[in-house]
Amino acid sequence: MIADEALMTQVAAGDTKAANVLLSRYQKPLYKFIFQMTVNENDSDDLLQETWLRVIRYRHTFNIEKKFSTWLFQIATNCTRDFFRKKKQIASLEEIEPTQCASKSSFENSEWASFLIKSLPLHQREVIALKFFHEKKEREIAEILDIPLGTVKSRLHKAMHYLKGMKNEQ
Amino acid sequence: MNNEKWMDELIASFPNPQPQQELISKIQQQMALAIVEKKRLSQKMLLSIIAITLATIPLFSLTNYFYYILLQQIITTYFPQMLTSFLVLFTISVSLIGAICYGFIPIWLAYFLNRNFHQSSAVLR
Repeated sequence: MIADEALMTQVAAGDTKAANVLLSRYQKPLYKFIFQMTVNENDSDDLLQETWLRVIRYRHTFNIEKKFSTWLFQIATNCTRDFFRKKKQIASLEEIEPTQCASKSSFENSEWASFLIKSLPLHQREVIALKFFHEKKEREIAEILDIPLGTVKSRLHKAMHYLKGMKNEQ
Repeated sequence: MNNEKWMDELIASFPNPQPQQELISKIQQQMALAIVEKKRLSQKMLLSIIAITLATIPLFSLTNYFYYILLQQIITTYFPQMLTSFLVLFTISVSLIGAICYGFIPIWLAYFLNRNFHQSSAVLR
């Protein structure tokens, strides 16, 4: 199997087939990650497209010495951050405050899980998704999010503390 | 940090939708187009180039004017019989042509690159 980084070099040279191979390799984990950020399928569809377009647009900036998946998740993170920034600018009042959901104990399991993840601030959601859903190491999370390792640990700690509290309330 | 049982439950119960095949096909098409897309210039960049060029034309004209004044002096030193009226006309016309070229070249180039972008992005829609 050709390494992702080698495929990316081919993409940079204009190889469409190599781009399709990378897409087939990462379509599911990337979509999963984006969905964990947005908790909305339509938004995830748009962001998945935007992420891959950015991959192609910025293909010449990819550093072959770095891991492709890290770079890809970096792009996806930036896309979701831009999306939330725009969304906040357009309609900050549209979103329902997570704490306003009253009947949380009556939720189905998947709804409750969605609610829990959605109620986390985006920066904590990012670390939780990368650490537990994608099993990334803390050092890699720090690289993806472009933050110090200590910040990753503190965000994880705060998010876990919050989630644990919410779980106990259930 | 230990991956506790409730965390496993949370991960297991969190929805796990898959991307639709139509979406993947659309992305493949978009990527193929983006790969062959020429180097493009955004509308914002085009407007910035036009604004900078137009704003610097007076400065360029002034510099050009002084350059031809200097050139006039050199010409009259070696060809004293040259008509002053011709030299004045020469200075003004050449300065004007210089200013037009100075403005035209970057604006045309920016417009050309911008037009390429719009043509290729129209295919994507």
